[in-house]
Amino acid sequence: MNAELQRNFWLELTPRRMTQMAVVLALILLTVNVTPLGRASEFVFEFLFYAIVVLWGTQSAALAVVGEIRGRTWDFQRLSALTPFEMTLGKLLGATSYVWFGGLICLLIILARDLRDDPSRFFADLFYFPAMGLLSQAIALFASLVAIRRRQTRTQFSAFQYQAVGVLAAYVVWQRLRDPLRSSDVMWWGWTIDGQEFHLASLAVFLAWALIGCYRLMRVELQVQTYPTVWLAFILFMAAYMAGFESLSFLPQFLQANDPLSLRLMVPVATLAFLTYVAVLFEPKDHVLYRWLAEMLAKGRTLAVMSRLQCWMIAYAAAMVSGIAVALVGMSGISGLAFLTAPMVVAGLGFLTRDLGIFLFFGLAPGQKRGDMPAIITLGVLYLILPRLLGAAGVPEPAMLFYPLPLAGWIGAIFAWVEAAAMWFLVVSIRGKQTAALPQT
Amino acid sequence: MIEVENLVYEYPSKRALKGIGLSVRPNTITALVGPNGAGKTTLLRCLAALDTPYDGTVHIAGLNTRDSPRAIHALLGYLPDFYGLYDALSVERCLIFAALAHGFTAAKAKEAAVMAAERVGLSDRLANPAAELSRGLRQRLAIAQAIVHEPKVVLLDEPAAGLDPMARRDLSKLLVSLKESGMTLVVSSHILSELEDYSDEMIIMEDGRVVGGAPVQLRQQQRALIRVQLASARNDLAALLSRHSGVEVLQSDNVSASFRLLGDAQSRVSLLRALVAEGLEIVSFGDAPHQLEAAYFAEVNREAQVS
Repeated sequence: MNAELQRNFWLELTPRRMTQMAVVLALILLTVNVTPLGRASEFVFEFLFYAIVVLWGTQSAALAVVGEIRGRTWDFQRLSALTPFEMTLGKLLGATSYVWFGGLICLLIILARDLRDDPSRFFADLFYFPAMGLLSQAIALFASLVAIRRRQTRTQFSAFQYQAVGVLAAYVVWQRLRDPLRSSDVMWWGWTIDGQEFHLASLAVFLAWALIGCYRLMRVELQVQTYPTVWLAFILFMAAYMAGFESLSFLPQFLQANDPLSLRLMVPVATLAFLTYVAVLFEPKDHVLYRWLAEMLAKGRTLAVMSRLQCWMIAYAAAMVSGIAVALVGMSGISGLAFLTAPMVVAGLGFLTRDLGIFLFFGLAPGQKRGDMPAIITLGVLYLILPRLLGAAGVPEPAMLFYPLPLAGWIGAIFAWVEAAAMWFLVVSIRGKQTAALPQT
Repeated sequence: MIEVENLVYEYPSKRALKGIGLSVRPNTITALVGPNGAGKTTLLRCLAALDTPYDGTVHIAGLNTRDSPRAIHALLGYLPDFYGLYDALSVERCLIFAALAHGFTAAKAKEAAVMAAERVGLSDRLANPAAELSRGLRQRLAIAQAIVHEPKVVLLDEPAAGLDPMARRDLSKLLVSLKESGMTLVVSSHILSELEDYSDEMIIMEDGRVVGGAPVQLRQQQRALIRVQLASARNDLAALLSRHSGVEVLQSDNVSASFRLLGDAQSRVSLLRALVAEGLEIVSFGDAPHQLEAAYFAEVNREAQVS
């Protein structure tokens, strides 16, 4: 048996704990059956499943590696012969084995209810509950592994944050699959698909991505050389997945109704840009790494560079390539494009470049321990406050200084790239000062 | 067994290793000494392929830490300065887990756990939870976990920190027995006296560099480390000693000196006679009590003079 799984079973699945869980759940079942709870009784074990597997399980998953770091046993585990796959499996299923014991009892009761009341739900529930639980736990573990790269593991609050990310993932799944208002068909890449089936399939796919993500981060943690190919595959998948929707609830209705071609071209670029923001927000801003990458690049050691590229760099490159391609389509004079213009896309790429500079500037600034928060505040000021202030002061069209707008034309694009160049000049200045401050060997 | 070339490691605010180069021979115990903050722990973590250096190479048993970190993890044991144990598990289960995690089958893991426990003197505590062990016994258990898979190389970071004299003596014996069983050990400490009993070589680190540039050979069969003490001061003590063949003065003041002497027991007798004949009022003449300390300061002094 997988050694890490075995160790977790020793710790988690003691006869006493298992008996306690079984007795408590049996008493609840008995209470539900003898108490007139009406329709609520149908959902008691669903609620218990969420409480045990999602709330408790995400905490166990978030602490699976963080707990080892706090207990100073992680280096010992890193030096073991366990493969990244074994370690991921051992952590994910081992640390949560006790909650799964309780969760499986709840699931059996839910499935028995399905067979009694509505057999058509049986297979959907058989897949939905375990997959949703595992997804939430995998996301919590993933978030904790990301945080380890940022060395943010010491406080209880940090673990709570990773748990919260897992719970949020479970909530999104619940909303898609259990909310009766969302049971309508989905139009995706021209196909009309039953909403339930589409979201169950999406759950399966995203569960697979979450598990792969945990595995890849575990490889990095165990010092196995890891190229960013899987991340590239993920962001391309996300771009294609999002571009497939005929309608997206968070986009303006007039755009979706009147200009579907612009939408289909812009959504992948926007998805890649969004993933760039997510990655740069959560990855460590490590000037030692950036200097090393620059040195390796100068020496022409491409493979070495590839092995340590950060995810935001890959996502940014993908956003740039796809953005330039879409801008060229916009310039080609193709018919049916009402909203999308080349200058707007170029301006969007400029603002993305500027914002990356803002994250790096605050992340690399000397003595800056909480670099991301000032960066987020700066972006808030740039996108929300300054346009309004300048507008109130009588500056004509101030929004073009801060947003990619269709009417701004090439002037808007020039503004965006001037801001980006200024920001990156500041970033390079900081890096230069830090390099000069280091002693020579 | 361990070859390090131009090793550089950087933290965001500090260059911790500044071009380290060293070599450790197989089947030896090498003391890694230096003041706090010298870079010993960072060096050990790079040797263990736990941290990736900025530049330079580390080879362990011919494997590069950059290319084959997992293979290196499999062939070494590492005890960090601050380590943890699985307190809720028994000693036996801690060791079985360590063996299973190194790829042993269940049957072999149990066997390896019993052997490792015997080696560190924990055979009678197999059923005890790790949480109930004293500090010295916890140290032994941590070492047993690190050696349960019979690694070729064992890296120990401040292993004697916080141990009482009895436990330190037991630790010395244990480390010597590990060396005798064919392992290569690197032991870091900033307390020199604790390394003296078992070290063959010494690497001195200071401010991210190896002072002196190469390991210092200890326990050289032909070069005893001797300390002489006088009843009355002699300003020319160092010069007087240096005039004799085979003598290398490491440290001296007006009333005492530590020096190396090339030769056997007869050489000592001859030197002692000569010194008495030269009018020195000798009150003691014998093996220096803190050989490693003397060697350390001699090396540090030499480095200071060079720079």
